[in-house]
Amino acid sequence: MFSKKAQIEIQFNWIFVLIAGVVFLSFFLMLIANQSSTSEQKISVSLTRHFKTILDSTSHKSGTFKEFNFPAKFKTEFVCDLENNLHYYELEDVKVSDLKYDIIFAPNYLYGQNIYTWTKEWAVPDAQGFSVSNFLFVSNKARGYIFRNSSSDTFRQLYDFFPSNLTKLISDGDDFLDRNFDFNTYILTSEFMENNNNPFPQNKFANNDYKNKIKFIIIHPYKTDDIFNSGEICFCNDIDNCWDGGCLTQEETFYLGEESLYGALFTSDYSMYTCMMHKAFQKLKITSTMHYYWIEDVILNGDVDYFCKTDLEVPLKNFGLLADPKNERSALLDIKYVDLDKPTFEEIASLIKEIHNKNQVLALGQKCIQLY
Amino acid sequence: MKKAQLQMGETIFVVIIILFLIIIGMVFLYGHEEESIFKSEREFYELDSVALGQLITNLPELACSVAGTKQQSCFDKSKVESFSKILYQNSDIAMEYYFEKLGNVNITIEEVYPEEGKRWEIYVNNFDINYTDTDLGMLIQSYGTTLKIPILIKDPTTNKNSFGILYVTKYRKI
Repeated sequence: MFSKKAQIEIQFNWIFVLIAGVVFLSFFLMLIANQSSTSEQKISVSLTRHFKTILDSTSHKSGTFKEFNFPAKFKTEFVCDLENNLHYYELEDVKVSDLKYDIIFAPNYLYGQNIYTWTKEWAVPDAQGFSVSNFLFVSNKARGYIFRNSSSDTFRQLYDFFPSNLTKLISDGDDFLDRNFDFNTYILTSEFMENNNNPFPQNKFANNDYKNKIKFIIIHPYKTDDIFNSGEICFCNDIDNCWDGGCLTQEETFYLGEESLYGALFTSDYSMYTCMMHKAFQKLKITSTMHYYWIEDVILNGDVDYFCKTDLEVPLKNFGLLADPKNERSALLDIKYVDLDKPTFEEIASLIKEIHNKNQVLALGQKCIQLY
Repeated sequence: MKKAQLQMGETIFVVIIILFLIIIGMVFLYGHEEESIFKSEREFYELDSVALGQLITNLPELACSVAGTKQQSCFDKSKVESFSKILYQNSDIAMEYYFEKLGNVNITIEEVYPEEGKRWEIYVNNFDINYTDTDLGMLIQSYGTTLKIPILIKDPTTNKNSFGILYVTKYRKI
């Protein structure tokens, strides 16, 4: 028989062991939980960091198309809100980076395991014109671009020049199928819409689930033989209430150059597109200001031929009208892209065209300095 | 009673030793974690510097162009001069844009051949080095690392080329 004192001692030992055991066990459990959360954070930081590096590095190299695959599916959200001055992108609801002046034509949402990036230099009025900025286009496998077949050669060109790695299809309108894309962008021309009352005879767009995953883009080029030059774009959700001699929705805007047309297709969203084009026009203003000072310096330089100087006067005046570097009047490029009306847009396009024509004249003169 | 006290003392001593070992282990573990965080920070900082160098060498507003074709790693002398002008005379539109794009950075071009020593400070936006933050009540120091990139400098009026170095110094608070 144990004595009472020994019994208490044994009980105390057990209580002590129990308390100490719980303390040790909880410490190690806490350590494991902490390590697991740290490692998850590390993976998340690494993914966001790599995503940021991908966007940063690809946006500087024009003419590159790349595909990036990730180990798991993730959601990316791009936000461009001029009203509230919000410009950023998020990965899995975590803000990665501010994009106040970055021109990224991407849909509002992307969900998937891969992303495609395509970089093109935006030069105006065309590829031979003066370079303004690089445009970065972002998409993924889950987004489908469906071109409504048309007899127009230039429309066919648009289909051909659109990156083949993307999920692009040409449709005759009667082979309509839900191809299980996350989002479907249907691309048509105004000419086609004028000549065809029913572009999709087996229209199944009425299906409510599918209705939320589609956007129709009607391209109205100003030159019928050159779809890439400039024109208007109409965004709509319902093909039956989209076009009747003109855009029937409020979501109508302009494009200037091939790259800005691609921008509309990649965003497939009026607000996102106009927000990005607003940034592009801000950059155009900076570039025009720089060209203005550059020409002013060249004209003041006595070494330049008299006739060359004369040919530089029109570009000087035009860059002045576009950007107003000396704050003498309001610059044409100060207007918000969403508020741009047709006469102003046409004036901007025509001033740029004049600059380009003068640059070609300067290129003919052996001793003349070219603007770009 | 004495024996029990001795046993209790022994147990407490063992527990103290174990706790001491655990604390030492934790200090090492967190030290290692901290080092790995600094290592990642350095890595990200270097990645940023490289991306910045790429961005600057590809800026269309500074690049040489022949018949609309941009030349890689070539800076147009007259555009470089106009660039400084736009930053100071039209800072309302340009300063914010380039600050967002470039951040706290100094960009300088130096001609090295055939003439030597001619420098253009394209963009200057460094931190005030060693200042006291009144809100935080502490001394803030900044630290800059310089990236050197060989470039071509073209004078479009004379059509002459020269070699130069682009210095990109990126600052960060430490």
